[in-house]
Amino acid sequence: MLEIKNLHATVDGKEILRGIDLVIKPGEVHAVMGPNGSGKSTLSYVLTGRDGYEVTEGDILFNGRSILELEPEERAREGIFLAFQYPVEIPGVANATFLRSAVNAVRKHKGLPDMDAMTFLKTAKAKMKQLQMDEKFLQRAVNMGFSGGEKKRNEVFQMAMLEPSLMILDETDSGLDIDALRIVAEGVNALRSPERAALVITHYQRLLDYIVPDVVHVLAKGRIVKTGGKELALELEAKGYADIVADAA
Amino acid sequence: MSAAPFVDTIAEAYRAAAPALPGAEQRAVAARRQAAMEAFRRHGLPNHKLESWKFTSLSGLEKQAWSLPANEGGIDAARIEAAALVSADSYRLVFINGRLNAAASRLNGLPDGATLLPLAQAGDALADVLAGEGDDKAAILAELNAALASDGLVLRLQDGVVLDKPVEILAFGAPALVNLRHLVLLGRGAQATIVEGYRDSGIAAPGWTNIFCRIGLGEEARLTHVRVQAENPAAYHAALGKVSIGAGARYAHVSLQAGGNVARHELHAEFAGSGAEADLQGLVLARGTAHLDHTLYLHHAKPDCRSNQLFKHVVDDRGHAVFQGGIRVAPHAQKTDAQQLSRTLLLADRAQIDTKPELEILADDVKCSHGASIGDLDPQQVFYMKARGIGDDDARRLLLSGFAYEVIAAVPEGNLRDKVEALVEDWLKAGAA
Ligand SMILES: Nc1ncnc2c1ncn2[C@@H]1O[C@H](COP(=O)(O)OP(=O)(O)O)[C@@H](O)[C@H]1O
Ligand SMILES: [Mg+2]
Repeated sequence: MLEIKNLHATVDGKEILRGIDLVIKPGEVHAVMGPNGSGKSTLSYVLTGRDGYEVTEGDILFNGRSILELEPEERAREGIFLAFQYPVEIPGVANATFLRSAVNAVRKHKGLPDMDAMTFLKTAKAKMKQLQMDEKFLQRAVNMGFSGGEKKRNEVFQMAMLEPSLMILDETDSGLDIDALRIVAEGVNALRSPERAALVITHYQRLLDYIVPDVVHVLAKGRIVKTGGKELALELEAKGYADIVADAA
Repeated sequence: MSAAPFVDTIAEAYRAAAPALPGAEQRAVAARRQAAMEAFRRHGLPNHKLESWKFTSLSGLEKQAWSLPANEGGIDAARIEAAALVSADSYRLVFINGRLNAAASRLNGLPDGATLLPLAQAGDALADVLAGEGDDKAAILAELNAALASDGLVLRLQDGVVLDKPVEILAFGAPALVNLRHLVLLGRGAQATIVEGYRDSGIAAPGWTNIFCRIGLGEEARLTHVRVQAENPAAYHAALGKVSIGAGARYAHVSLQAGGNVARHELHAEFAGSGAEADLQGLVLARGTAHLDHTLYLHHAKPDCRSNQLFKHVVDDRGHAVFQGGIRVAPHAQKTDAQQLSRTLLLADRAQIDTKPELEILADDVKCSHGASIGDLDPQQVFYMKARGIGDDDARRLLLSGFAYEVIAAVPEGNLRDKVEALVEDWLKAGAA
């Protein structure tokens, strides 16, 4: 599904990703762990095509096709979803309006008719219930005045509505207490399927107790320095990043 | 173009129109109009030499000869309905070519203690309604208006009268000089909502609409005053409003300017008693070469009053917005709370805003603040939307309507707010096309 080949990327002329290779097959969940500043968020932005993140070498194939030339919205419509580490606040735009525009943009791309307001509302309410979100969040402006945890839940809610084929979660666990973490993880797990893959970026092992990965990668200084099974996450938790990063160097 | 100086051509237009203006048969009215015309003739148009007219020029008006509309004119009923901002459940005065169109208007069913008339029927009260604002060049358009006013709204509510439905003034621009003059007087504890809509008649020739509006609020009165200027892109529009706010009264004003070539809405509000409140909010949508101006002057003449000004501007192409926000706090006006904020999105390299806060604070125990921000859309917000599959145009449009929403939300909920919101959405969509 996703094939990252020797990916080098710069931000403001500074090389942040320095040769990443990663293959994710349908149905798989890959975790990317690493110390702060190792380039995890940068990887998520490069995958989603954010302005200012320039690929200088290598390629990203999604379903066999290079996406480097695609705009962020085109990548999203193709099925790539990023749950932001820092969800953005948008004053004056109701969550429902925003999300319905997104849902219909994706549907249009798939050749489906617009989802009417009634169906949208019904679907949204059902998904919110699963995530134990109050329905009033639909009418509130996007992320405005949401607590850290509410923002993260809102990200997963959007993901549930858009049903992407590749879910990228950037530190979705940060800012969540243990109950919220469980609910959010259940929300993500509910979306797991043989056709859908996930790239779970996290700093801590904690989230991976709930969203159990097939593969764990350790990212340090813009490179994957170690890859293993889910037990690698436990090892990281026990030993800390310093040793593993040093071993790999 | 004639060789005669501009003011003489206007004086000539006045002479031609005077016999048919309301109150022509009353000597006091005729004398007042004559004196007002003389004052305009002396001063001419306000210009950039005046501090308050530094950023906005009406000199384009001098390039053509003006006359008053020859007749009442007519507009398609469907066009009137489409332009109306309030549903059928309203009082309504429709002005076409500066005259009341009785067929499209609704003045019946007023509660006791309420008077609602077109100015042309004000009779003996006319001389009062035309009373002057002083011999001041900066406000000389009010004198021109007094000389030429062909109609307008007169609303009077006696003490305690709560008007059951909003009053809508719906005026269509004409390819001529149109002067409407409004008077709104609310007695103690009276309440009303008035909506002024200046709309495009569909005739693309340049017109000049000159409005004067006087509002007096008695103690504890409440007035919600929504104003929409959406004339055609060739139009000149100048309006001056004078508002006096009594003790404990509340004045809530929302102004949308989304049309016209050169348009200015100038509002002077004064607290005439303590414990009063004024909320002034505005939205400017300028594209093409539109030049749209809000000039406010808020006088905290009494203690314990609260005011808030929030003005937002979306400027595209070579549009030009002007925001002048004057606040004066008199020496004895302690415990004044006066806030002002101007926010602007410039969407093109040649889009412009002139924003000038002017605070004169002569009392020491006050809470006053002002701020101004100018920028483009936030790239983080744009990316967040695109990362959800929303295309660039839609993302920008959503963000702009989000920006505008804070002002739209100040319009009373229901049919009126929906209409204002639709007008804003249409403007935003027209830009994407
Ligand atoms: N906009 C930016 N401009 C310059 N440097 C940046 C920018 N964003 C991130 N970086 C740098 O890139 C590196 C990786 O950051 P990031 O991808 O956010 O790391 P992580 O998510 O793993 O904590 C850091 O050194 C950070 O300072
Ligand atoms: Mg990060």
